Amino acid sequence: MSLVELRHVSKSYGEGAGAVHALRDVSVSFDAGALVAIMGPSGSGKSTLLTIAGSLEEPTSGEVLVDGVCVSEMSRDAKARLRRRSIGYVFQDYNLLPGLTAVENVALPLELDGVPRKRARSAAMEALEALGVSGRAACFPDELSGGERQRVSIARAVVGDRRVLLTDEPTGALDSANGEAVMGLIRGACRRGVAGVMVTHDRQLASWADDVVLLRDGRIVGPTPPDAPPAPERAR
Amino acid sequence: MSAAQARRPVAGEAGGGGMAARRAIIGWAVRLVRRDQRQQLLALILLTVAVGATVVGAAVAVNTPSKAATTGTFGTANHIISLPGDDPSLSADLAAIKHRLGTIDVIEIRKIATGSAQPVVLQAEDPHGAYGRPMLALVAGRYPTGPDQVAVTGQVATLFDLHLGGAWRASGRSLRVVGRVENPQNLEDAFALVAPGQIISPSQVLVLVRATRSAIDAIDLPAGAAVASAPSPAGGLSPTAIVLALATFGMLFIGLVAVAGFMVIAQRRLRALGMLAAFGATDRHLRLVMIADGVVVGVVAALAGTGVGLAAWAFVVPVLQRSSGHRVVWSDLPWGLVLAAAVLAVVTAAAAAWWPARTVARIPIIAALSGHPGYHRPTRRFAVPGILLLTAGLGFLALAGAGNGSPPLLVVGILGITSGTMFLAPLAITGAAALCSRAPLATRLALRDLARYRSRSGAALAAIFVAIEIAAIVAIGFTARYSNPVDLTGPNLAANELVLYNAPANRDGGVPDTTSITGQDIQRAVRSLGASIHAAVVPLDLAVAPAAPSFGGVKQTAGLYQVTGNRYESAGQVYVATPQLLAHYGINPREIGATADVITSRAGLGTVSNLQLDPYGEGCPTAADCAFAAPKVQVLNRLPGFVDEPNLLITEHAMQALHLHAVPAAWLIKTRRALTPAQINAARQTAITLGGIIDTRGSTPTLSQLRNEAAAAGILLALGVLAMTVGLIRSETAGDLRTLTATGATTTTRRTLTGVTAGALALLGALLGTGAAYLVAIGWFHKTLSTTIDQVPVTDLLLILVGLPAVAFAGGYLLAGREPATVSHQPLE
Repeated sequence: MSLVELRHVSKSYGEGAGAVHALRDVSVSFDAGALVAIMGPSGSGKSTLLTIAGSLEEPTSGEVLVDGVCVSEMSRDAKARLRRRSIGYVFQDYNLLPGLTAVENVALPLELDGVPRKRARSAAMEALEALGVSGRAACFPDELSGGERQRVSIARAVVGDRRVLLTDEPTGALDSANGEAVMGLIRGACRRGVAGVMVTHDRQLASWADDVVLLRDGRIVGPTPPDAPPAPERAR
Repeated sequence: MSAAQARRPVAGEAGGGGMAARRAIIGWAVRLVRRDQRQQLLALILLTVAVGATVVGAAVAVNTPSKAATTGTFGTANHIISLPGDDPSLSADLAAIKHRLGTIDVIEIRKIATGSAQPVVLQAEDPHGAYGRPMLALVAGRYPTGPDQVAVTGQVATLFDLHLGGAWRASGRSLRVVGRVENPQNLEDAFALVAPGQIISPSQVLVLVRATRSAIDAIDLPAGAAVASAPSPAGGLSPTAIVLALATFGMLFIGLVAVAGFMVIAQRRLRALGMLAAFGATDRHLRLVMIADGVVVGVVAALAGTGVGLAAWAFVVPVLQRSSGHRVVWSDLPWGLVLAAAVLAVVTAAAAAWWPARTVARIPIIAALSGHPGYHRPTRRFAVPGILLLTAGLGFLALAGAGNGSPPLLVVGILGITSGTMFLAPLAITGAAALCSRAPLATRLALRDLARYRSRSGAALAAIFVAIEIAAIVAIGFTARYSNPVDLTGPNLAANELVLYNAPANRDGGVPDTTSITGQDIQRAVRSLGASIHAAVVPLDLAVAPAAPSFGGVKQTAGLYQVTGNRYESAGQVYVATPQLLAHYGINPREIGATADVITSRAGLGTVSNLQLDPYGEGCPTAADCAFAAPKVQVLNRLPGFVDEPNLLITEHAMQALHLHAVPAAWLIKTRRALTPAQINAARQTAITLGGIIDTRGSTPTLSQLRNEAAAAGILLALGVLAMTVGLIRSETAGDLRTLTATGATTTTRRTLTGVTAGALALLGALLGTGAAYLVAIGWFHKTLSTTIDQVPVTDLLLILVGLPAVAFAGGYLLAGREPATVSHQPLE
């Protein structure tokens, strides 16, 4: 079942001769339980596709459907609600909120959605526990290692039954051991029914995905990279 | 280890997350306030100072000496009837007064020789009297109740070395000191208090009454009796209202500076706010982060400011008590105003945070996540609303100036011009950057940065130009006001002068039909006063026409007026140019032209049109009947220039031509040095005895004082804003500075960058502020431009337009130049 669907999406920045076409007539869908890697050279439109899929940006043309509902027809508040309830993001540089502890960072999306603090905290603790960082729940972001930050970031992205997980170079700032651990967690989330989308340059990382979408100059040029290496067995 | 997908807890609200979301956001915002303390410090300090200053200002305003001066003499009565102590029918007279006026409070007085100029009186008074109660307070011991008991003030105790329980021989009697007392409203009052009826032969009996003047005049008072009236309370705004208005204006100004500070904070938090939006915060949530920040800063400033203000007030109390000469109670504060100041601080901080909050909430999430400040609207778009507002402002001011000076129109006009200029400020920054496109690198970069980050440079520029605009409006406005030779404005008297008027009516240019005290008695009392306080005494006479009509027992005296239609504008008190007065100012009567009607020190008075010398004052039935049109005015600079000094004299020639005669009305009393409170008190006591009043130097400053103070205040404020904001503005380009350093920029380049930033903001602020002030003046005085704004305050304008930018540049240049610690990227955490 497609949780996120992009239909003939184009995105341009600027106007006239100086316009930059980041995406050109892209149609793609992301299903529940599957992890899709988006690959391509710099400037190919990978991150733009991710942000449009996550309702962070409006397409210039085309439409985006999340759970069958057209996002472009939604109000700003409705989009915010959609992001609170359905879409989680994991960024390369973690983007944890300063001033909030790990558990508070994870609980914040729930609290923003009106969940009472106690219940939000308890759900956040569950998420942290599942990711193996519950022992660091009271730490502030600057007291955590890179791997721990990214786990907290993933916990924040999946907490509260979110069904779409969008990740942008999730292991870019991590060493290989931590990177593999994080990929395992993302993969695990997808096995539980989450639709995962991962932007990456790394072919090795792409091998964790069920499908790979190749982008070049804003266009999808192939469903899978021709020379994709086999994914590690333990991760499957 | 497995990926988590914690179940969504139920009860999430459908809309914006409700109270739970707000609580979470506010909680985070409060944590951020602690993290970004340094950036908050600017707004926090300014608001704290503003609240503190308002508390102290309000406290000083409600404890004004003027109120105490009246209460210290009259208590809660409105008239004092002074009866001679040797009145053979004193008891009958007192009974008659009581019968006619109801409640009375009697104070018997007998002077005690002290061997010094300081007068001391033995005073028999009921401490719980109906009207005199505010004038008496027990400091130690108890009030006297028996025939040989006395309570003394501190001065008397010192003078006679008296102690509680000790004995004192005064006026031929032996008295036991049972208490220490004071007049809390007049601490200079030196007296010894005895129980009522304990002065056998008083030299004077004061009767405090609350009655109308006509009721008192209807009583047949004995010879030598005099009636003194409490001055009517000054009209206009109450001091607390003025303090509140000033506080509101000050907070508005601080709000502008705070906007720049909050803008920097918003920029620092841009990526975090972008992240918050990415996981589902609404625009309202994003705004709440900044507004909660503002409220926290406001609450902290309100509490700290109130604390600082109250502590400062505790230090001010003894100083004010000494200078004002009356008891000041620490807790006598307008608590409502203190609360209002605290609330204003919170509202100002929240409002200042609102604009940056709105701006960051509108930045696209992707731009926010990358820390990009977002898209700027082209500055030319601000030009149209700016010009429209300027035009509307000018229109309102022209309407206000053309009519009767309606304050709402004036305020709306000034606001229109100020907000119009604010809209044009970004255009000015962009224009300056464009003008300097070929300037050396550092200058070019500094101006370009100002234009790039104009959301905060615009706020700083607005604060600077408002500071300068206010200063320039004050300077121009007062120059115009003080240049009016008919309605003279300025200090009333010099610090070493006082005027003793024989009767309250004399002060307003009238002469009472009857007086109970003879001229000789008055002269003797005033000469005695002059001798006791070592002052020169010059009689001042008013000119009265024998046929002048009398209104309410007061005859109007000759006056000089500018007549416009049916409107008479008085030029103030006109005294007679007596030989004694002329001699006092070193003027030879032969210097006065044979045909001159009036001599004056007011330079522009000779050129004023429609002047009339009216022998009947305002009592003249019609202008055509009695006006002495176009009197010849001669300017003599040796005459004094202060408002209540004899600066407008009618000549012997005019006196004869108009058949006027001179009536003694007042006395100019002049000491070598500034008058002391004791000297003023002695004069006040004499005035009470005579039924007259005194006038001493008020608080009105001179024109140059006002202009210099306004310019200095404007410049200091502007420099303060620059000191607080240039660092913030440059902090945004810290990354560029690192790159610049990495590419080999020297300390001079870095210094020049900061210097030019500060200097350019100062210059633009000075130009915009002065320009806006002149627009206000042109709109307001458009009918009388040639006479009202022809006196350009050159020195002050030079200080503002040249001095301010130069000091700002120098300050920025000298204080900058530190090499950035690292050339690195700052992550969100």
